[in-house]
Amino acid sequence: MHRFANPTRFLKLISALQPWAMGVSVLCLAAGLYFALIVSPADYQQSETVRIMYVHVPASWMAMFCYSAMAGASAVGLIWRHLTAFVVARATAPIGAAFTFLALATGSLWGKPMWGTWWVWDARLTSVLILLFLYLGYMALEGAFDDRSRGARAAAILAIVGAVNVPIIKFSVDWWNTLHQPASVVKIDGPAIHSSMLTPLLLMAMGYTAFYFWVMFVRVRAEFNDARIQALRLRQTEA
Amino acid sequence: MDFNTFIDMGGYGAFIWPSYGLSALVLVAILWQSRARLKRSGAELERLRHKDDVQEDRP
Amino acid sequence: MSPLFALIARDIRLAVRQGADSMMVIVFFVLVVVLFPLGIGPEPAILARVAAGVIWVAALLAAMLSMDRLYQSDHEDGSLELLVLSPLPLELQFLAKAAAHWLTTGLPLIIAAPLLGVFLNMRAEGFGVLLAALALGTPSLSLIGGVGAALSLGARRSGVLLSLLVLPLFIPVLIFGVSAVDASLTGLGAKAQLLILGGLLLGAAALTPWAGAAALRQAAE
Repeated sequence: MHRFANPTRFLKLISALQPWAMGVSVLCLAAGLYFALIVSPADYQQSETVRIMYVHVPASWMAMFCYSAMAGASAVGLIWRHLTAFVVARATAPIGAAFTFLALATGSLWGKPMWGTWWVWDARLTSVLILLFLYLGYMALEGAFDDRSRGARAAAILAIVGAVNVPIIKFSVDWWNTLHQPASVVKIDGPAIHSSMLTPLLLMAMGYTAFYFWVMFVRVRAEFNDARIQALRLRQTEA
Repeated sequence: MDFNTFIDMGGYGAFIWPSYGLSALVLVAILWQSRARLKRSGAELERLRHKDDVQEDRP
Repeated sequence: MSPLFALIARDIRLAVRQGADSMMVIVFFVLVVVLFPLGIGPEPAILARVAAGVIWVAALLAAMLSMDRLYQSDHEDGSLELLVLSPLPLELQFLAKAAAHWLTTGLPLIIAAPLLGVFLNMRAEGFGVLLAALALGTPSLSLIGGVGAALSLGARRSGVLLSLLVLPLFIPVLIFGVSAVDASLTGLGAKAQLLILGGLLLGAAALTPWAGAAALRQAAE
């Protein structure tokens, strides 16, 4: 890992990986959509609305994955003072916020026909809403300082503090009785859903994950460009 | 399967299509914004570097 | 006097000398609560139903309002650098600061709460639990808010930013604080909720000093 603390090496790595992330993402999403909308059957209980699952569940996974990545990168940045890690965390935040928003919005669109309401204040929904606020707080704090590195470090501490929310989200459906159904894929005794539904779900999840890396790589490269622009401007005003 | 039953989705099309549409919209938006940013910063960097070279070439 | 208590005493002395701060928080607290009967109508049954929630939300807002001053003046006049350099561990200083904040805002809020319960027509059985829940919950608010205050030191528009950072983290305290009162009013007993509030306080007391001290250290750099 320390090898890639060097920005040049890291940039080279992500520039090489970016086409792969893009390819995997586009292929998996195309195949996933085909299976999700055409091949997979309707659920006997939830009928056609089960198709919302294929965009809702991957978005929720990614909401938590991105937060974990952001908090992990923040911890690496604080402990080893790797500036590259802060850049990864900063690039991850808006993507994670987008996934969290999608998880809430598609969940709402699924809740209306299934539960008869757009929103309930149960533990799962509330904790995901808090996650969205944590992302927004992270981005606000990160951009609120004239000194960029001060903002990066302050936001990193916030990301780590907010990480207590991630296990709460994960286990909220087991700890409290809620309308939200418990996990049916990630279980110790194997997934509880049929393979005809598991295939599109996993394809979409892989597509979303690759999409995250794709966009994150693009954002990291833009961040590095910005840093260089700032350095050049500084040099030119001094010259 | 004809087109209308596909759009109707057993009466739930009004919920299913917006959730797919919104997902596509948000993901494409963030991708587009990120790429635009990369392009803009890349162009700006080129411009500054060029200016830098010109300055250094001066006697 | 040990340096820890000296620090708490200094903060309280500063708060008392500025006097207005603590008073303003209480007036704000009462005002917010008074807005509710005017906003949702004076129906006693409705007010009694929402009383605990309204008092808790007002307490969160009041606690947050006084939060951004916690390190601001120390940051501006440079005493923060001295505190960071002092031999007393910064984690303990963070706890001392939070304790001082609680004594000057949390405690007055608890004292004012029964009066507001009367305003909102809360049933008499709920008062004891409301006070117990506030006593267990408001110190957590001071601790969590302290981290937010340390993080937003020197930021642009730090007041609004602080509320954005801290209010989401206050939500667990709010949820269990309100449900403690509701449970006792429906005769279920509030022991579980009070235990959770106590657990949140212990967790906050154990974890926030590290985050707060890290934030202060890099604010003073």
